[in-house]
Amino acid sequence: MSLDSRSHSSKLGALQKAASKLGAILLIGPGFGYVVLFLFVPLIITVVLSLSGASYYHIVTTELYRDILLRSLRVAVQVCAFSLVLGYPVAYYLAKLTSIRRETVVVLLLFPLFVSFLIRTYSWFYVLGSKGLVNYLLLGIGLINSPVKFLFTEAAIVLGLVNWTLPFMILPIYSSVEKIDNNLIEMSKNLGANDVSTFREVTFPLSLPGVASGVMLTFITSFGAYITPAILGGPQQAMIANMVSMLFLTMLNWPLGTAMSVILVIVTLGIVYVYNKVVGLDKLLEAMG
Amino acid sequence: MKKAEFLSLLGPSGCGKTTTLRIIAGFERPTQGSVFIKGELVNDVPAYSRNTGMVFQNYALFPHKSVYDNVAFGLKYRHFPKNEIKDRVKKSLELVQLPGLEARYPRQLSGGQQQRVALARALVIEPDVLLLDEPLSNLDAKLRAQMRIELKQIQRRIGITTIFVTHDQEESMTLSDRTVVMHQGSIIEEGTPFQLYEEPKSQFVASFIGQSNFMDGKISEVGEQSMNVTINGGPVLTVPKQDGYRQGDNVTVFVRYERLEVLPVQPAEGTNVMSGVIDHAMFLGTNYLYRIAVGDNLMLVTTEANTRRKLPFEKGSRVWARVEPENVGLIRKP
Repeated sequence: MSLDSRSHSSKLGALQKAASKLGAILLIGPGFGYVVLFLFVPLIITVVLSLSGASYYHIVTTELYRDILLRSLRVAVQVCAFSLVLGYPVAYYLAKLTSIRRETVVVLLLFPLFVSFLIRTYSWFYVLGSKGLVNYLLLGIGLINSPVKFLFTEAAIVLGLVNWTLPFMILPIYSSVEKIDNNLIEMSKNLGANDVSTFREVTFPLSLPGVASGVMLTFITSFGAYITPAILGGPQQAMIANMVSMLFLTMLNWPLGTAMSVILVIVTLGIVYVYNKVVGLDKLLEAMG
Repeated sequence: MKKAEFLSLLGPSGCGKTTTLRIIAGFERPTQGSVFIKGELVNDVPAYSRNTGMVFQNYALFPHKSVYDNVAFGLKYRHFPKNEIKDRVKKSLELVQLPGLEARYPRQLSGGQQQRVALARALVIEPDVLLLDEPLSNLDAKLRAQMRIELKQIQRRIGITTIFVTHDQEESMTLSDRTVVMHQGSIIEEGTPFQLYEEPKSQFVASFIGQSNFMDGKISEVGEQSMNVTINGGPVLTVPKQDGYRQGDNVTVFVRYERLEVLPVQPAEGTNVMSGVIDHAMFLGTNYLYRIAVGDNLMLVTTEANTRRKLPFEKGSRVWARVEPENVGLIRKP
């Protein structure tokens, strides 16, 4: 009898296993197929196309392309630095708030994201343009005699991108500061470290995973930025994504365009790889949720 | 507090014992009252300038610092020279029996080891007072018993004034010179463990420390040496005469569950013999636990399991419970 029931239960188990396998396929199948078809396959085609001809050699040896690559890196690094310096204090402040007030501040923080990105970027014209707010003020107090050119500079791109990336910097840092055990802070004070030393010895080092997440997200978004450099930088200040678009749509140079795209993808993946080695991608999920 | 005294703050969770400790450490400000450390008023002294050593329940070791850096932390902020820091860290790790673990990180240590590091870190700064916030409650039962002994030995050896917060009455009994029982933010009673166990002044303390049977009654007779208490719906118990009680006073008597004797036959003589029926019987390894219905009252009794018989008495057995008059405690009813 026991034998019988065992074979019965094993049959049932196999059936259940098959059912759960089918369930898994039904659940992730469509999404997976979509990604393979529209992301993986084009990516492979891109890589193959980029290898035809001496595209990479051409990019490295041509000053224009080198400049664009360097500008993209420079802008991304600057955006990271400014976002970090501006975002860390906000994240820290946020983590120390009581939970009700915190919700209000988070909503305020995310509010700009509800406004179309294009509109937000164009609105910088009213701030930085030759008849914009900044020039108006500077002329008004007599610091300058003629309008300063703020638009269509690298600085304008950095400014616009920082405005975009700040929430991506603030939220992971906030999340890691908020998770620090308050006992550690108190312990540090108990052992004789004042507020500043406690921040340096305990809070900041323990918030580094959040800083790393923020820096990674900020770097990736600004390195591959398209709209901001296109609008605030203009053709003279093109970044890598703008160049890709130009190569594909205007110059119809597909081998060079694909090579440029591959460089963009490799740098991005490289950063994610380093992040995963040092901090761990699972930490990113933790930080975002 | 006296110097080198071991004081426990004992009470159920939420009674204010941890808050009291945090006020002493300077993490919180008292709404009223003052804190003196070594005779000095420290109300306005920030936590980092008070010389107190703290051990938290979760140890609060810095996860990103090695054992060495954890223990050296306090010395660094007391501006000791590097060599001396090294010496002192080494000595304090020896004191807690963890020599040579300087380079490890907290996550590489067991719970017991983390606890010792936390203790070493608090002791190495030679604090004026050692503050322990339930430091043993995250350890498993065996390790807890072992650490309890070790903690007491270390405390005696270096003679450090210690305040120990716990909700575990056994821990406070075994460790402290003096225990303060707290409930709902105020002190209920204080005394040596012996005083609190044998002569509690309130039912709260009598029920919080140890296992007791409580029965309400009235003093029915006051004699030369003894008094009789008539239990409501139960027997009459004889207790030694005590000052301040008069005939007709309402009292609560309490009998520790280990001070009752269970007998299979009615003894020929003797006071305080109650007849009852076993209502529940359990074998607990070193003890048997019985619940006996005596009149309207249920009484818990524990007896040592000093035979290999499974249960000397079973549910439904008729038994006689006896307690010596001196083992019956009295609490005045308001």
